[in-house]
This record gives sequence, C-alpha cells and structure tokens, in this order.
Amino acid sequence: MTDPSVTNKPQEETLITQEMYKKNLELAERNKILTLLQKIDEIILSSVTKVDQIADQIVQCIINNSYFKTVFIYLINEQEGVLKPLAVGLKKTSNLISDDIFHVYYNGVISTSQEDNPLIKATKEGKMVEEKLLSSFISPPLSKESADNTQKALGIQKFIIHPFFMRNKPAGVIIFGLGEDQASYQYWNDLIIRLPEVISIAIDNALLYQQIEKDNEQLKELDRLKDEFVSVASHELRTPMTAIKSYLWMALNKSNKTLDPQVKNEITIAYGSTERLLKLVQDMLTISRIEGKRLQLQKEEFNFNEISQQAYDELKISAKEKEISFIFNIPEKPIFIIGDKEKLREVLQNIIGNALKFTPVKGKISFTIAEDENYLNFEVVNSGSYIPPEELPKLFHKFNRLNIEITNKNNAPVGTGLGLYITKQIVEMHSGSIDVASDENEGTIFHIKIPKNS
Amino acid sequence: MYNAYMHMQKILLVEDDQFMKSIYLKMLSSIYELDSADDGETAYKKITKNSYDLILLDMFLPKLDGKLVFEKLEKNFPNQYKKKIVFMTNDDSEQTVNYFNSSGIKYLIKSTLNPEEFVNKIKTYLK
Repeated sequence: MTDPSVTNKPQEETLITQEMYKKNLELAERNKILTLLQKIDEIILSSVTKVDQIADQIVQCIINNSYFKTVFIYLINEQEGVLKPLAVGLKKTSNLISDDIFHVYYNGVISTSQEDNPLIKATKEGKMVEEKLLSSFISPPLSKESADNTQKALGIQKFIIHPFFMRNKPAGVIIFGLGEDQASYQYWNDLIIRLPEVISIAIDNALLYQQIEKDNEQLKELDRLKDEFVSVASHELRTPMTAIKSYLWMALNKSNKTLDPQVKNEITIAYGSTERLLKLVQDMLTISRIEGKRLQLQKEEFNFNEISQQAYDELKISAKEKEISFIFNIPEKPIFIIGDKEKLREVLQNIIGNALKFTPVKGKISFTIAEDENYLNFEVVNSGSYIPPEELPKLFHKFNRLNIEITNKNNAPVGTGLGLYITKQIVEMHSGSIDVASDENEGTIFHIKIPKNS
Repeated sequence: MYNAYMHMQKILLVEDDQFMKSIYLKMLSSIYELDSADDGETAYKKITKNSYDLILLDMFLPKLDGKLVFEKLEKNFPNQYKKKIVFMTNDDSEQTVNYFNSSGIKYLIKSTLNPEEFVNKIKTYLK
C-alpha cells in the first residue's frame, strides 16, 4: 500500500521550490526597479538643473538598469506646434547601429499636425499607444529602411508610447522600446506607468528652475540699472545743489556789503537746508547700497582712538557754541580694531552729532570709549533729551519721526531721519550691536558694541 | 605766507560747470595764478604744453572724461603728472573712491566742501 501523502511529498516540495524561485525572481526584479527609481531620484535631486542634461541622465540610467532597449523622450513646444526630441538612450548591442540614429533623432522635429504619427496620437488622446515599428514615428526624417534595420539590430519587438503631463497639460511623450523576451518585462509594467510621472516632475522642476534663473538674472539686471540710476541721479542732483550751497555761502561770507539781519537769517536757513538736502541725497544713496547688499566694508586694522579723537575735535566747536560740557573719556592705550574706518567714523559722527543736536544749551555730553577682551565699546550720554520707552525702537527706523517735541524744545536743526538707521546697519555689518536707553533725569545713552576683530 | 618775491603757484582748473568754475576762480585768484579749461581735450593740451603746480580735474567732462585725461597722461607720461592731479567729483561711490585709492590719486568731493573749505584743501595740497 502506498501512502499518497508520502508519494506526493516530493511533488509538493518541487511546487514550493518553484514558487519560491518565482517569488525570488520577482523580488529580484522589484529590487531592480526600486534601485532604478532610487537612481532617478538621485538625478532629480542632484544639482544638475538643465532640462536636457537631466533628461539625458535619466534616459541613460533607465537603459543601464533595465531591459528596455531604447528610451526616447520628446517634449511639446506649444509655441512652435511641434514635438521636440529631448533625450535618447539605446542599448548598443550591435555594431550595426550607426550613430546616424542619434543625429536623426535630435534633428527630427514632429509637427503636431501629423495626426497619424503615433506620438502625436498619444499626446492628443492622452493615453498609452503601442506601436510595432520604429519607422511609424521616426520616418521621416529617418528612411523606413534605416529605421527597420536599426530596429532589427536592436532586437525591438514593440514600442510603448506614453504621454506625460505637467500641471494637467500634455507635456510630451516617453517611448520605451521592448525586446523580444517578453517574460523579462512582466514586472516592469508598473514602472512604465510610473516613469512618465517621475520624468514629468523632473522636467517640470528643471524647467521651473531655468525660468527662475532667467527671472533672477533679469531682476539682477534691473537691480543693477536701479543702482546705476540712483548713483547717476544723486550725482546729477548734487552738482546744482553744490552750486546753490556755494553761492549762498558766498552771499553770507564774501559780500561787500553788510547784510540786512533778516536777509542774512533767511540765507542762513537756505544754506542749512541745502546742506541737509545734500546729506539726504547721500544717505539715500547709502541706504540703496545697504539694502541692495552692495555696500561692502573696506576692512583694515586701525586705531579707534584716533578717529574718536578726530570726531571729538570736529564736534567740540559746536559744543562750545551751545556752552555744552563735552567730556571725552579715552583710554591711554590705543584700541586697535579691524573694521571699515570711514564707515565707523560716520557712526561716531552720527551718534555724537545727534547728541549735540538734542542737548539743550548748557547741557552735558559725555563720550566714552573702552575695550574688553573681544569687544570695543563706546557710549554717548547726553542730558535733557528724554525719549519715552515706546518711542525708542522707532529711532532706528528710516525717516524716524518721534511723537515728542525735543526738536522744537531745543530748537535743534532737523536731520534727515536716516542717520540712525544707517548707523545701525553699519554697526550690524560689523557684527556689532547698538542699544539706546533714556531716563528723565540722566538723559539718553547710546551704547555700541563691536567685535574688535569683526 | 606769500610775498612779492615769491612766484605765485600756478593752478589749472578743469571744470565744465560754469557756476562752480566762477566761484573756484574767485576764491583762488588772489592766492594763485590760474588757468582754466572747460573740457578734457583742452585740459590735456594745456597740461602737456604748460607747467602747473596743481591740476584740479573734474571727473565728468565733455569731449574727454577726467578719468580718461588722467589715464592718457599716465600712458604717455608715466608718473609725470600723477602727483599734481586732484580729482574733483560729486561721485563718492565705493567704485570711484576705490579707483582713486588704488591709483594712489588725490581727490575731493565737491559737495562736502564750502568755498572756504575748498580753498583750505587746495592750500594743503600746495604746502
């Protein structure tokens, strides 16, 4: 007697082994597909941004990592009403394939009016088309004979033509050339459906990037033109303004007759306004450079005591005129820093100049510079110009207009309203910081801190 | 500072803006012997023909730009005039200032000076 379970056992094992083998094969194929998709991902994420380069890399990658014999990509050019070749890859298994095919491919533009061309059909109908012959879509320009020979040499049995879309609009076609061994492709159908999507994303990204790059170039050019305009305009403005200023000065200082006090006062005001206008033009130019990130610091190592002393010397005359007690605390040891000497000189002039403007007659200003291990510190304290806390941050805004009347109260000249904004930008360009505090009794303190080696 | 036994120092003023030219001439005439030019070509001819102690050269000039006058002089007579030239401009852009600094040439920004300050600056150049 034979036990059926015993006799069936080897048969069952064979079945299981076969099934396992099949599953392993499938797994290997799926792994290949995954590897390919991963490689395509890498190409998409790489720094290559030219559409044709991206397409070419993807096509070569597919050819090297799959059974497909050829891959073609065409892109729709709506303006010209054509399908344009973008990339081609061939599995070069035979020497019979001449390089002519590449030449012909890249020169073979297909008009969208050729409705019998399967590529046009696929894009118009928006669905996959199968085609047996290479000549059906590449002849002309390639002769039918050459097309047939190439197809034979490559061992291609059929072509799958897949349209792809960008933002729901037909964007092109991708053509896969399949060989005779149909079994190899049984797991690759998913890929044929997924690849057009992936490729369309890659191409779309690259096209977008190209557009952005182009826009960016145009913006840069516009920016350059704007800068040039501001530069030329400010120069053109300054020329007549310099003449006005100089003539007013001549009237005030070089007149043969003694001026009528009222006329003298009026000309003095006109002279002051011209100076302010010149400063305004200068400040606007500086701001345009700062905001366009075109202001570059000319850094050098220099003695900060020296420019502080110069700023003090220049401004102490005005302090004396207002009978202001102007104290300068400067250490004996020079403080050397690395920074833009001229820009930092402007900072000193702005901060001390402001203090002078807003300190009442017979008031007090103290100006202190000091250093610690890494930083240069300087502080300007002036009496009698209380600024409420809520107004303080506004000081550093462009055209700051505070809701207080210190200007009128002290009869201070009106500034451009840009000085502190520029000061803050220059300090920050040196990786430093600027703070302000105000107290009704103590007055206002500006404190600036700049790394000695910024 | 100046007396009858001293020769007056000679300045060439190259300025196309007639208003500014008139003021500069007025301010400088009592102290220096002056000559002037309104454009770059005339300036170049005068510089190479005559002898000056100082050449005040506007940057933007008709016919031949101030910068080109300077470059032409440097090309044909290297270092002969460089120390005598003072560029006058209202263009204080970094590009221009860098150009002055890298060529080691003196310059003044017209709009920042009143006529007296202008004269004082000229005096320091001719000390």
